[in-house]
Amino acid sequence: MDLDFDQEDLQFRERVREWLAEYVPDQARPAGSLEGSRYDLAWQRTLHEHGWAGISWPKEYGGCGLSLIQQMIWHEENARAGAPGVGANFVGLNHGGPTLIACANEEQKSFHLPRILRGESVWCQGFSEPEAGSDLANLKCRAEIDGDSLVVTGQKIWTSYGDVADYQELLVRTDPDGSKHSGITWLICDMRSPGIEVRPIPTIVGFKDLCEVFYENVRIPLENVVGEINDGWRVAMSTLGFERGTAFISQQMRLAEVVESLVELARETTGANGRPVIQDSEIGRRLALLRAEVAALRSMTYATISRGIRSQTPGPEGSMVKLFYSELGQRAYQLSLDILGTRKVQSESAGNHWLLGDDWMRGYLGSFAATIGGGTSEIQRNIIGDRVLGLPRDRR
Amino acid sequence: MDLLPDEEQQAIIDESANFLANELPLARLHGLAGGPETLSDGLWKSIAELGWFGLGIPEASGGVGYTLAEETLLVREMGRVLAPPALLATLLGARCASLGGAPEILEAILNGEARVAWAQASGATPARAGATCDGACYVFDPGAATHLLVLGESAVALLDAEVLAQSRELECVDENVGLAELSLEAAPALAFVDEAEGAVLARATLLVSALLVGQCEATRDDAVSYAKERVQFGKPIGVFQAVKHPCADMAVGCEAGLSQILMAALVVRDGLPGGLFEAAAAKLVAARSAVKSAERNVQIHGGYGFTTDYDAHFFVKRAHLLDVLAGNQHEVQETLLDQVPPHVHEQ
Repeated sequence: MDLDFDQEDLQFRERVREWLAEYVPDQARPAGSLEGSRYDLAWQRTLHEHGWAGISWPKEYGGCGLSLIQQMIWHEENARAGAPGVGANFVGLNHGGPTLIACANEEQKSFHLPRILRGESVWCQGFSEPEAGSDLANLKCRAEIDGDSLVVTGQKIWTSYGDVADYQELLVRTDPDGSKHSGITWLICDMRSPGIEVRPIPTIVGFKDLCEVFYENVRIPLENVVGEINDGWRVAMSTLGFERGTAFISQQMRLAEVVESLVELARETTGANGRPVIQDSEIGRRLALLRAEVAALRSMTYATISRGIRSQTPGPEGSMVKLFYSELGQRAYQLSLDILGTRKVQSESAGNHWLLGDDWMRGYLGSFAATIGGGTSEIQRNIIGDRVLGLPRDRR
Repeated sequence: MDLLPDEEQQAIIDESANFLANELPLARLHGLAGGPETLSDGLWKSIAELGWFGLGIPEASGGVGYTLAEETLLVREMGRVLAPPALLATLLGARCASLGGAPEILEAILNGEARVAWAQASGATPARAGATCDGACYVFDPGAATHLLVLGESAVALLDAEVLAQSRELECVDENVGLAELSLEAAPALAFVDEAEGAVLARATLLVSALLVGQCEATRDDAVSYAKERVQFGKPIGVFQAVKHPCADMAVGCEAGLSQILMAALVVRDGLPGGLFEAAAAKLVAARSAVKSAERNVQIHGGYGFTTDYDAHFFVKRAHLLDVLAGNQHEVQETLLDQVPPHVHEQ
């Protein structure tokens, strides 16, 4: 057990820090999925030009092939420097791309992987459907073979950046007679194909990047099937453990900043008794707990990385970090409203920096997404109960 | 960077867990008939011979020469079996004696001849001037104590247990732990360590957190094993999300507490900035998780959790006892708000 970094890693940190100091853009990420995704792609191109693209990708596919420790250092330094996040490149870099690396053929890899790394294509996800949310394997979006194509008809939902994406990782039902988990196929869908209609979804925080996607007789070449027909569930699960908890560091450090802003807010805000709100024992208690829990969250991430170094196959512990992080973030924003008191009703929606905590109400409303997206808290608790604790499973 | 135990540290965990399972199994508590637990001289001696009290004391001073990391792992195992708080008080007493210039007390502790009781001061702080202690404190496990470890606000001190003659015995919420109330007046310290010099308080805070984490893990395991075997509606109750999800929350509480005690152990051990903050964070997270898990475990056991036939009630009572050692939640919160968190500072 130690908190030491070896010489090579210390030099790496120095190199990252110097590079970021020079290249992190001054302008903030613009609002809107189109402008936002352009900003994200521009940053990805900068990263690629300087050899920082795909820090967790293997070298043979053009990535940096960094060790877990160096990935962690990379993310810590990025958060510290206020560097742009992965944004619209999330699916390409952290999900679709890694799935291609694990399961795609050479042609598919050599076409798509460089485009993702070079910031030339945005990917989106087409997994969830109105009737297949937590129960993903219940998906119904149909695809039938017709000559050298699959013809897709159905609907997907919760597709971030669906309105601007170039490609989609699309799960379709190719065998309606098979069991729930068989009969699914993983496809690369060109989002410009005829028959696709994308509708942005208005959300609790206004229009963000969420979309629903409708498919009417969309022809997708059979060569876009990744893995085998009817083997899509396995393909979709192949990347579950690709992200080993390092990318999480930037979000976690951002949350630490949010909590510190809260402490400031509580010092500056005067309560009904004329004293700073931080002197209220209830508020003080909750602030202290948030600080302690942010510290624990960081330690959990370090523990996850330490575990990742020991074992090639990541365990279900990631569900514990996700659950803890998302609920902690919600408690932070809930507290901000209690500190603001009556002022909370005054929405200051001009900025788009709610993630940084400039606008507490937007942050609060946005924080609902944390315990829903990427597997709801209920699903995380099922995973922890079943796979960490070995409790008997319900028949699902 | 590696937050998890290496092979040698794992061996310490396994050996101590093995010893405790044989000598201090949880089941022993059912046989105590409601009286405070005082370990026999023989058992106390064999624990001393294992080197537990001197685990983190340098070899040159007669200790084993490991560090706070190994002590943390050991104490977590003690927490699992609800070992008497006197064991931790004695381990910390060894450090206080070692740093506070009392080699004869250190030797007596390492030989298993001295036993230290935990004296949690409320408003009483050992003062350097004359090295005396004044004020009120709660003493835990006064039974066979030869010394008291007084934990004040900014220093710790060892006293001769003869001051207990002035104490008043109280009934403890945890019937397995002795409790006395004591008012000190210019009680002379046999050893004295200022926090700035020895960080004994940060260590005490951390190691109580380790007891809490171990206990929280034992509580989680108790709930999970009951949820697997108890059948209602034709199924083990662990199938139902209303039972499974609280168990999952216990697991998260354990993971948060465990990760944080390991982090804090390394920060305090290596003298990195923010040791007291990290230890306080560990205490708050671990205490809340332990109390909450203990409460949920009672609920999961249903009516049986309300009885004394099962272990569930032990966990609840001990969690509240440990919650006040090295500072209750209110005091820990003050530490957390007074300091700039190190993880923010370094950004």
